[in-house]
Amino acid sequence: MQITDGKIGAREILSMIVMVVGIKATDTTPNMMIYHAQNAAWLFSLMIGVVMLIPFLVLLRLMGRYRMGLYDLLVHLTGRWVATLIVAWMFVWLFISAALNTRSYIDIVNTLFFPQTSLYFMCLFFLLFSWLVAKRGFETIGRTSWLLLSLVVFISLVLSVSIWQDMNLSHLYPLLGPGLGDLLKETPRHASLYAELVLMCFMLPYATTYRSFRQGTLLGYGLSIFVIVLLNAYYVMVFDYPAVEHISFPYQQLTRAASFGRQVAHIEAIFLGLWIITAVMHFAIYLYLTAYLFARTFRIHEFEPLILPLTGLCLLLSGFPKNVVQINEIRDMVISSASIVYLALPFVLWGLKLWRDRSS
Amino acid sequence: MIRRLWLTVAMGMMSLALAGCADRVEVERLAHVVVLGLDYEEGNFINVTFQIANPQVGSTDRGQAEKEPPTDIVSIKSTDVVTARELANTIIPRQLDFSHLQTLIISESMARSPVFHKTVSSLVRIPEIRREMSMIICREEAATFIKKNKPRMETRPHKYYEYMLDQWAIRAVVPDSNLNGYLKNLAGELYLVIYATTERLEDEIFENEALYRAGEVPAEETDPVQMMGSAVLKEGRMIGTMNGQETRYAMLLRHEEKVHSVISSFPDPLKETERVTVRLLKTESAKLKIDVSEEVPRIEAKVKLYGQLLSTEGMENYVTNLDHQELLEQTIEDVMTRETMDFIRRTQEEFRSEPFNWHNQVRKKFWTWNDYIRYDFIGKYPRAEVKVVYEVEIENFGKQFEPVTVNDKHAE
Repeated sequence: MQITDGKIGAREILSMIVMVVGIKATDTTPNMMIYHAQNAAWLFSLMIGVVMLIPFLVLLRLMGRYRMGLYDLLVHLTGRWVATLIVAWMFVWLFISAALNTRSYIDIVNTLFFPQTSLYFMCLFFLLFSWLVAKRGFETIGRTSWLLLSLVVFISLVLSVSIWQDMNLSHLYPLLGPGLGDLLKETPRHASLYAELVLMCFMLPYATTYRSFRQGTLLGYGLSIFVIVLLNAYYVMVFDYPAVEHISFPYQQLTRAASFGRQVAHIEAIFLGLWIITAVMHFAIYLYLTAYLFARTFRIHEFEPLILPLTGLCLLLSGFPKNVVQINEIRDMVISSASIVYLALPFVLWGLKLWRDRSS
Repeated sequence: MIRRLWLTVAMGMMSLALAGCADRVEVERLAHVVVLGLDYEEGNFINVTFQIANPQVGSTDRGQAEKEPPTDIVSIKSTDVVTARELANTIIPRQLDFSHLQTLIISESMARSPVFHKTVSSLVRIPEIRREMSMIICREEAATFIKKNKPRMETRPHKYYEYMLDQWAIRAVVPDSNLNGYLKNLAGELYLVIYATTERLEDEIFENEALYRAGEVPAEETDPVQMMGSAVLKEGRMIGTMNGQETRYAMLLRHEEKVHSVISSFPDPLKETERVTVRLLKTESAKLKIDVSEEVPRIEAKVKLYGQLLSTEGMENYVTNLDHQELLEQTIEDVMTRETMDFIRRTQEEFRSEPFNWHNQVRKKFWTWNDYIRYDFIGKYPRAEVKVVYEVEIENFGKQFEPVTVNDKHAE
């Protein structure tokens, strides 16, 4: 047996980013984008991607300069107390997001595939499996993601080919949707849709080298944005605006439209299966990150045992919202209130570094 | 060893979970609805007709159920489709399931009533309903249509509709209509839906074969259903019908729609009483020039068609005589342009909207959605200046040169 050092390379990081950011194209995120950006949802998702990339590049630069993960960097630049405060806030934000998203994923499954099964049981099983993956550790999550990535890419290609006939390019026009002004106004407000990218920076010490981390995150982010833009464009091209605005789960409806001729027309089960597996990976990463952040807040060294109690708490929290509409509302609020922090943090750190350089 | 045992046991336990919990269904306990019919009833009610396929027919298991009919038809009066399904389950022992439902049949009286849109828009809420479901509007009651539709060669109804739609998809005398398309076109543009009937109308016989509507095709002793022409829907309500020819022109003028085989006859330019039959193919997108800079939109459509000569009843030589060839192309272009312009005038005056999906091209002219809505293309369409140019190129002539004549002695 080959002995590993528990560290992961560029390709594992790449696939983890896809699992944690790219999958957002398939949950209720596109609803939010279509709501704000009409038929220009694809452009909107691209703009958010670009806006989030700038602070991330700054952060990468800083981490490369000090050869530190985000946590150490925070401690180094802002001091122990402020760092703890930031990490605590991030923990709360991520934890709420995790609970809300669990519920929203389960709502999709409940509405479209298992309408009579109890929501609570589905949440329980879903989180149970996510916990089983998360507790195997960061390396396992990374390697499993890498195994799944090729399947995800393959399935996306299958989807593209099978809905090709139903697409109409002209539905993407008028290109700017609600207008450039509105898009520019909404973009920074929703930047934290991709904030997991910043959170992944805590995991730099788990990567073999800084170089591979940078490569992995940038490529993974690029691929994720590509997938999100593509799927958002598909939704509009197939269902057309304004009809697409009334569709609650566009990805799942899109997979129902997928067909190869009239004979092979009911293939959504394939997409559902892989989607659930990817979603389990998504939440495994979420749970792992929450445990990490929680441990750093309270300066607990051994954090992997914390995953189980946090999973239980997540299950409890996810039961609170009444239905998917309420979740979407809360989610929009959570996302737009956090965006400014994720956008500003790298610049603040950079400023502190400059200030420090000058004073020393 | 212990570890492996433990793993095997755990995996065995997990496979138990695969059976599912509350939503498990046995395939045997499902009754698959393959056709759904909707009729308008007095008051707040609709009449929902379910045609349920018998899976034993057409399978190797046929011997077990020799006397059973291929389908079972149930009609239930109710306020909506879901409650009708629940009521149907008091009659049918198996659970009615929509996951294989591919055809929706709506009666004309229903389509003309405001109940239609309400019913359809609440229909799409049902999780199993697919947006790719074909829509057909029939002249009579949908219940009668479904009951009468017993094609002789196709025992299984879903196969019948599948083959029929595949056939018409290339021949373009009926549109390809489905639920998704209907939901996309609710903002004032015309949506064309397949028009069908089992009734026979005693009507005149046309020389031009595409002028018929469903029920008017002169045929005797056949399968009861005819599908021809289209029902015209605007803002979620049926407002009229179009015959096969008009439907065909609507398809030809659509930008992206490909038409693979239009077999049509035209008056023989050299012999007035006779007709020439050609197959026309539209393999390239129609070229559209839409000018929206002024108050009245100006539209120029250019359609390139490739022709194949199929039959010349007039026995004139259109093959080796190049002048005649050109004359024939010219005639086809003229006839088509004339008919198209008549048709466009009809859409402008009678329907006051367009079935050509031109609004999708108009969208490209604007940067924001609000600008596009403010321009109000559909509202301006009745006054639009439309110009249509056909370019016909006959590229093959069948496997004969000149028509074979009687007493052809080849003496100079």
